[in-house]
Amino acid sequence: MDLYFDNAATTKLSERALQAYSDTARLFWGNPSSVHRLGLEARRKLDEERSAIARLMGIPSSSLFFTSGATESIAAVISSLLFTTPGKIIISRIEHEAVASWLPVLRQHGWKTEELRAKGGFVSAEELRAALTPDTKLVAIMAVNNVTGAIEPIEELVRTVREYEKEGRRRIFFFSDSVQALGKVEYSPEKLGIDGASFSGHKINGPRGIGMLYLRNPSAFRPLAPAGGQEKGKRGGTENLPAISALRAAAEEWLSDQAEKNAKAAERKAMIVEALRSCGYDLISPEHSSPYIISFSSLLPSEVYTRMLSDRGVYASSGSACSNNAKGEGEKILLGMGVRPDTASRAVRISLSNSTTDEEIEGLIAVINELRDAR
Amino acid sequence: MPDKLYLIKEGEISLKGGNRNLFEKQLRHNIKNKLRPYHSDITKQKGRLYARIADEAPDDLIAKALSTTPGITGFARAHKAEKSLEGIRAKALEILPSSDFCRGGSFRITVKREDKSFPLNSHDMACELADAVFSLYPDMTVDLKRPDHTLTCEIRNDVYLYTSEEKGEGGLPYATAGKGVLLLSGGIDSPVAGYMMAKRGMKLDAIYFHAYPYTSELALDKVKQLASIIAPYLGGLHLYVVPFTDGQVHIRDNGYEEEATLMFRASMMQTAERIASGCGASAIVTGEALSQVASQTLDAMSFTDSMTDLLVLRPLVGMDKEEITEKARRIGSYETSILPYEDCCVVFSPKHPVTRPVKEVVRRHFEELGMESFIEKAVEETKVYVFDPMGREIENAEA
Repeated sequence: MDLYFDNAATTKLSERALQAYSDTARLFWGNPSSVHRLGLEARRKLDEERSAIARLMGIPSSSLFFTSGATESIAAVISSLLFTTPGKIIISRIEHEAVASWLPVLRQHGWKTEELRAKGGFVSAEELRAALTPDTKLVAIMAVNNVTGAIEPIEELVRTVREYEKEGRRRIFFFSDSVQALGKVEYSPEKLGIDGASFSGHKINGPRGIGMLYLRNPSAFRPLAPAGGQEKGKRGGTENLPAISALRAAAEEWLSDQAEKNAKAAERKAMIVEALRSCGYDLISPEHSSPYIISFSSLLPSEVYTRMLSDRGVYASSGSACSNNAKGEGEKILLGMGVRPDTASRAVRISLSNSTTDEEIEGLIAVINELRDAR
Repeated sequence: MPDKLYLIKEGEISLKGGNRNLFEKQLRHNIKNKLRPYHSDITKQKGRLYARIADEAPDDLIAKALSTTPGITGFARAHKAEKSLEGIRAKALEILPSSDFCRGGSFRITVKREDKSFPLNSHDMACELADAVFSLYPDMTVDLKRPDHTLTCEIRNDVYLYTSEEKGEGGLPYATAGKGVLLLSGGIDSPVAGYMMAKRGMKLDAIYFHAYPYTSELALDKVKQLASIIAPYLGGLHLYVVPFTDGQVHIRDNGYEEEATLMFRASMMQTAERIASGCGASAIVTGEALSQVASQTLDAMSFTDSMTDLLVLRPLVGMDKEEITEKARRIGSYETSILPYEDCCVVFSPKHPVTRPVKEVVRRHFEELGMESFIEKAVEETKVYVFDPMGREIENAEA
C-alpha cells in the first residue's frame, strides 16, 4: 500500500475537484473576457466561483485574485516594488524560496534587505521592531512554516508594524505567504490584519497551476504590468476557469468543518510524535505548530532515511539534500531557525492531509517502529 | 544504392611495423561495428581508409561514430566527381554552399594529383577550383599558410573533393591491447581514466558499487549515463552494478572507523578481480590521482594494489584536477559528473581517514573483517547493463 505523507509538498487531487474541473472545462470553455454569450457565461461562472471561495475563506470576493500559484502571487507583490523608490524589505530567514530568492534581485535595484532570525522557529516581534526603519516598505513573514509547521505570531507582528506606522511613518505592506495555513490552522487574513497573502490550490486537494492572491486594499496595488487586464488589472492572462472550479470544489471539501478536521489531524500528529519519540528521535517541529506537519531528526542522513521509508511504501520529505554541492531548501530553513547542522542534515518531514486515513497512520507508525534501529 | 564516402586518416597505426595489419583490421571492425545497423564497407588505398557508408546513415551519426573512435586522427566527407575539369568544377560548386565555405573568410585549394595522366597539373587545377570558389563567394581571400577553410581535390583512379577535415581522437583502436575493468564512480575522474585507456587500445567493462538506500537511485542513473557517454570511446561496454550495502554496513559496524575507506577500496579490488576473471579482463583501471583524497596517497594505493593480483592501472595518477576536468569536458562527461548525487554516503566516510596506513597492519585488519562472504554475495547479485558502441543501452541484453 502507498502511504503518502508528503502532503505539504502536494496533495492528491480530490475526485470532486477533478469532476468540477472537467465539468467547467466542458461547459464553460469561453473566454470570460469575450462579449458573446459563451464569454458571458464563463464570466458569470468565474464570479460565482470567486464568491464561493471568498465566502469559505471569510474575505470579500473583491479582495481575491486568481494566479497560477503561490509563487506567482508572491512574485506579483514583490515585483511591484521594483519600479518604486527603493527602500527596505524585511523577511524572515525561514521564508520559502519563492520569497527569499527575490532578495538579490531587490538588492540589485538598490533595495536594502534584512532577514530576521527565527529562533526556535518563530520570528520575534522585538526583532521585527528593531529592524523597522522609516524607509521600510514591505514586511513578508509566512503564516505557517512549510518545513516545521511553526505557526508564526502574525497578529502580533502586524500589530508591531501598525504601531510603528502610527509614529507618523509611511504605510508598510505586510505580506504573509499563507500556503500552509489555509485550512490547516485557524486562519483569517482579515483578523490578522495583513495586507496581502498567497495561497496554493494543490496543498488542499485542488489542482496545480492555480493559486490565489489576497489583497486587503486592491486599489492600492499596481502590478509590474497589467498585461491583458484580467483580474481587475491585477493579474493578466486568460483565467484558468476549470482549475478555479476545481479549487472551489476542493476548498468546499477541505474548509467545511475545519475545526473538527484540524482536531483530528492534531490527534494523529500526537500519535506519530509519540512513535518518533519512543524511537529516541528528536522532534524539530515546535509545540505551537500546524497539526499537519511533523519535522523530526532520525539517526540517518535525511535522504537515506527517506529512501528507507520509501522502500517500505511510506512517502515523506527529506529535509536536506545528501550532497556536498547543494543545500536543500529545508536544510537552509532549519539552519535559519538555529537547528544544529548535524540535526538539520538528518531532518525528515511527515505531512498529513484531510484525506489521510487511519490505516495510513497505522502503517506509518508500524514502519517507523520497524526502522527504529536503522542507522 | 548510392553511398556516402568518407576519407579516414589513421595516425599512430601507420607507425606500426609487422603487426600494422592487425591494428588496421581491428580499426575497420570497430568502425563498421559502430555504424551498425547501417552498412559500411571500408577499404584501404595508399595509406588511407575509405569508408563507403549506406546513404541512409545520418551525417551526424557518422560524424559521432568517426570522431569518437580511437585510431582515427581525422576524417572528411569526400564527394566523388566526374574525372574531367568540368565535372570537378561542377562538383565543387555543388558541395561548397553546404560546407563551411559559406561562412566566408580565407581559403586554400590543395590538389593531390596522383594520376599523372590527368590533363591539368596540380597548379592549374587549383586555379580552376579557386575560380569556382570566387564565383560563389567573391569576398573570400586566398591564404595558403593559415586558411580558414581548405578545399582538397584528390585525383587518383577516381576524383574526390572534400572541404574541412574533422579531427579524430587519435590513439590506437580499442580491443588491440587486452581487456580491463574500469572502476566507475559518479565522479569526474573515472570516466576520463576509462577514456584514456581505451585510447591506448584497451577494451573495457565498468564496475559500479551501489549502496542503496545510502546512495540514491539517481546516483545509479547518473553512472549509467556516464557509461553511455564513454561507451563510444570504448566501443561499448558492460556496466556491472555491484550492490555493496551490506558490505559497507559491515565495515562501518565492525572495522576501525579511520580505516573504513581503505577496507572498502580493498573489497572493491577483490570484487573487481572476480568480475574481471568472469569477463576475461586482466587489469583494473581506476581514476585515482596521487594525493587527491586520503585513499589516494602513495601508502594507501600501495595497500589497495596489494589486495589484488591483477595489474592496477591509474592513467590519471600524475594529473591535477584541472587537467582531468578539461578532458572530462572534452569527452562530454563533466556536466553529468557534477550532478549532485553522491556515490558514497557520509555515514560510510570516516571523519579522519588514515593517510599513511601500514600495509601489514591494514591487511591484517582487512582479513579480520572477513569480507569474503559479502564479496561473494555482492558478485552473485550484480546486475549488468549493456551499452552498444554508440552509447545506447541495450535492454534485456545477455550479459
